[in-house]
Amino acid sequence: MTAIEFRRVSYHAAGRVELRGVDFSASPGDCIVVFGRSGSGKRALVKLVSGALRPTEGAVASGPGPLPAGYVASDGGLLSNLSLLENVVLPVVYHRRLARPAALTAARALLEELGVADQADNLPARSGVGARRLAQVARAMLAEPAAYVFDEPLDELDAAAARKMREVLRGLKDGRRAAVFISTGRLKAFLDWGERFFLLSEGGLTVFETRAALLESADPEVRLFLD
Amino acid sequence: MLRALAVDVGRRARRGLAGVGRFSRFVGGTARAAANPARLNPRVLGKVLLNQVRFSGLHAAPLTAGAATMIGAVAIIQSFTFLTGLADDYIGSLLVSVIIRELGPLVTAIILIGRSGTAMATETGSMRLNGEIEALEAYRIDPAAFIVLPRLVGAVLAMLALIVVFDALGIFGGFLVALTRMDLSLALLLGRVLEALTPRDVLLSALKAVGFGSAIALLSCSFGLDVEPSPTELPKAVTKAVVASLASVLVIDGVIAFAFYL
Repeated sequence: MTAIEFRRVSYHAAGRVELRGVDFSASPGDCIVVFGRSGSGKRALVKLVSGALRPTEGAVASGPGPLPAGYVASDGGLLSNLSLLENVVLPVVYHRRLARPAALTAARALLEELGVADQADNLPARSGVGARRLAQVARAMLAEPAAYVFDEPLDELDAAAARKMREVLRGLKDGRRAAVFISTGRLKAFLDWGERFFLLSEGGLTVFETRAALLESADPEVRLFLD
Repeated sequence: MLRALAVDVGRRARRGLAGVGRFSRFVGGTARAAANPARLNPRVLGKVLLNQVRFSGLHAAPLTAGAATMIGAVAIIQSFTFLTGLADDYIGSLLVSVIIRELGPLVTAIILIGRSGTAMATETGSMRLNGEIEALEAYRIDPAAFIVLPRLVGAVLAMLALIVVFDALGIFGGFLVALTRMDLSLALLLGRVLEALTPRDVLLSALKAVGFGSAIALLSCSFGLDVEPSPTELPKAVTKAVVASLASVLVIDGVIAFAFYL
């Protein structure tokens, strides 16, 4: 089964080509680290995977179900007029995947597991960056998508939230029930996590199918992130 | 000099046409969302709608009532200045023409633009800038259904309710002033107003409420959601929403007046 497939995908924004003719597919269990410089197009790629953007050309096919991807943005990404708990349940209640009482119970349990249950009833603006991001994780997990998309998952997190985030990533990776995409500008922090590595440079995609292939690469763009 | 002017005009015209195209697509998207009730969740959207009606309707009622009382009173005071022998026979027709047909819907629309239109444009623009709209799209929650539709319905319902409040208080304000010059009871005045009021007036008031409320909500949400990705663009988007809403309300009002009263 394919969790997500890109077919000749290009994306243009404000007259600029952010992605050019990108092809790949990912299966449940794949852990893909997407890296590149700022402005290389990696944010466009993860947003296309998540469904937050639509391709200008080509097609993105995703797994079955109304919620194919769970997106965890580096900042924002939660409705500011809803509490963290209401944000977590919104997609599954809106798409009638779960009745509201059952969704609230499951969401509280997830927030408890992630260590942010005490902030469940806070608005995002009254919560810390760690709680906000972990609430996004809870929202994604409740939706049980075919792919998880993390945009700079460890940025700005304190030690406790970063440790929790690593546990989440480890659990998702080991669970192998969904594809996991991690977008980062700091490759070394995620070198041990990835099984496949996507380098984005000026909108073009280079795929390294194994960690060994990445480490052996002489591509100056790769060396910039490794050396 | 002339060439530069022509280029500038051409550029503005092209930008204007592109804006019209974008707005048409936006309206089309909202219509598609409304036409697909199976994909709407009434329980979730009902809460958003209720908040909108509360803010745009209930919270705007005191301001509307105050404005209506003053405007009704002033309309009658001004009438006394040029119609020295204004009889109670005519006061009903005057209030119907001035308050119910024209000022009620128009002033209510201006209040709606000032309070709710600006709030909608700011809120939706902030949601775009904060990545909230992208998050909704990522979870397949159509912003046209979740953001725009409840605000559109809420604005129309609020317009209808506020026009009724405006008309009632406008007539009351007129009555208070008329009392100083005439031997008039409220029951008599209401009788005169009801005699002058035709079903067409009521229907056209409702039509204006739907037209004005829809235009204000759609334009405000459209400019907010289309905001360029920079915080400095948000005030510009709100200003554009207000200007476009005012212009559209005046155009709709003019079209209705020409079509039905000329």
